[in-house]
Amino acid sequence: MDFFLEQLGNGLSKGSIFALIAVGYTMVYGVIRLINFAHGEFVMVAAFAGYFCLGALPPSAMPMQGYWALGASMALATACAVLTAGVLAVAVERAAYRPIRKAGRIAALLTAIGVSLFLQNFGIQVVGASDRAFMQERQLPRRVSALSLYKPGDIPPADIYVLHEWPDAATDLEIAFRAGEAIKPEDLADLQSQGVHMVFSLCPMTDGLKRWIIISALAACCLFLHCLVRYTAFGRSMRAVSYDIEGAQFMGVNVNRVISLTFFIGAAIGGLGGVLLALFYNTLDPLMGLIPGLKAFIAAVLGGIGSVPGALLGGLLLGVVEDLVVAYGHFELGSTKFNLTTYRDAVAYTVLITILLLRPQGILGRERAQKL
Amino acid sequence: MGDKQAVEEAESTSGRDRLKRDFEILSVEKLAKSFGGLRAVSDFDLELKAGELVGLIGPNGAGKTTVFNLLTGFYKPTSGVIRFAGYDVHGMPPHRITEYGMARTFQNIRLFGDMTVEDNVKVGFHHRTCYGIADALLRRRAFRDSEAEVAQKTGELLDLFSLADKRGEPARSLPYGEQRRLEIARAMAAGPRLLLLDEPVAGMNRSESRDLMALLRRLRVEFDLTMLLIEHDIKFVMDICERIVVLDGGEIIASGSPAEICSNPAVIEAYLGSGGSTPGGGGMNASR
Repeated sequence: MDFFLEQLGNGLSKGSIFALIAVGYTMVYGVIRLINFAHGEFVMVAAFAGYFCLGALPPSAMPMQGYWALGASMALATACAVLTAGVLAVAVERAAYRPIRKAGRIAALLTAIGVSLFLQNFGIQVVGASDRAFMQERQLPRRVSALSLYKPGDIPPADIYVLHEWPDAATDLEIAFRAGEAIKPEDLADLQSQGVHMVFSLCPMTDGLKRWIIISALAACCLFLHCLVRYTAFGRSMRAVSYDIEGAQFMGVNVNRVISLTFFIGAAIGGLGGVLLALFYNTLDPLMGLIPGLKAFIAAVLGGIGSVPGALLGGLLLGVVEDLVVAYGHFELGSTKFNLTTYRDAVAYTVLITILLLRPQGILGRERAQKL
Repeated sequence: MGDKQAVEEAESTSGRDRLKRDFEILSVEKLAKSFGGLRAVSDFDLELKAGELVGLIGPNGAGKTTVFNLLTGFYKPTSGVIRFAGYDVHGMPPHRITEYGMARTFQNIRLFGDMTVEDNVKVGFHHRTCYGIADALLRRRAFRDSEAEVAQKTGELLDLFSLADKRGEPARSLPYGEQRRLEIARAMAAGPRLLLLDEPVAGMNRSESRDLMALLRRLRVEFDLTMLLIEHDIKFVMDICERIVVLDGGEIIASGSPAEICSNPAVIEAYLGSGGSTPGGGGMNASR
């Protein structure tokens, strides 16, 4: 049961990331019927913006300590990522999509793919193709203690580092004692003779913590989107534009503004997804938006493209199914051994195709009568 | 936002308080529109005085709806001048022209079918709400006050149009006649001074269209509205309009009081071909 819950948690956090990215696809599709294939690249750019912000304002530069400092630093990085993605999306819409909005869907789709490739290669040019760690060890929050608290024979649960000055700048980590090894008296004496008084250990970013962050981010976004779409003038005009883009203009709705805002919000939420994606795998590179973007698009279709709750549901479902295939992929049936782990995507998409065969409009999608 | 202020000023000085009753609210000169080589509308002149109720009639394909689309900014005119409420609105996007006080309904009902009756009307208030997303997120005063005002005004409009008990239903589930009424209610939410009605009684039976006529007359007085309506139902047009403009082949062929139009030979010719009867007689009534 524990194993199942563990896997479910893992699947839900991956699914939450898909869901956050899928929202951008579905919102943009909802208003202008464009599958914005550059959305995955907005996610990538956001992750990099967050990464650079985290580098410039690490937890050690925050006025707080421990997890508070990490939280503050992450919040700043996330805000930076979200804004960058939103502004980028608005700029791309203004420069690339709006001029050809009336040119037909194929032209728009090709433009989106073009923007996607452009951003990937631009990213490779600017930051290089190799992947980076999103969060370095030295950025993790520190738990400081006095060296005098340690006695020979103690076994520290985590690595213990030397703290040279207070507050310690982000200097290289100098290890004092290794995790799981008994402290030798001569090491302790050596440190004391060097004049070291303080040591610290790192508060790790555990998978459980990441999971909670990701799932609560999704919950917050759901609430935000629900209130936005249901109860605000912008939400009403967005629904109106989605239903009838021409008719909405005559009601005084500034369609271009609604479209810009939709791109902004969709990309901003995708940007949040990007930061969480980088945090979850602790890696980022210029092509990182490609596969999650594609899967988020699939999630949006699965949930019913154009429907925001559908995208959220589709994302969660896809994440969980993928994860459970990996978790329960090994089994024996009679004397034959099956291993579906390597077929993770194949199995996940078989589920997807089955759902779409039964409900072509997606789980929460609405059948839209074709206007004749 | 300077324009918005200008509009409000114009509203308070010239339009709303009716100091000048014969204030010229709409003036169209030499309006023309061609699609490729096809001249849909040419040499169209029209002047509407504040408070007038004018009918625009003509055979199918005469260019009536094209005129509406030009006035509301949906089509860019090929040439000509459109002055609305003293402003040159030529080439402006539709939502701006709506802000200046022009609203319309559609020949084929174009409600936001997925949305509730109430939300349809609220969309009409769109340009009268002024708060940002940040205001909404933080539930600032601007948001709460603005939404409360919109909700109240929406309630008043729904009462006026006898749709209050359907407010929570999706627009598409309403019966046809109520959908037509809702479309007008939604247009009224934009606070128009000029209302363009594209075939308001199409598909209605006689009693429904009589009710609508009474409603339009009431709106006209209560909201100090100017109306321009396209209608094929000649009886309806003759009853309600003070002045009628007849369009054929994209050009005005006649204009005058209902009585004058009935006896105008060019109109009879356009509707029935040569040798037909008068519009007041059998030929045109047959369309009912």
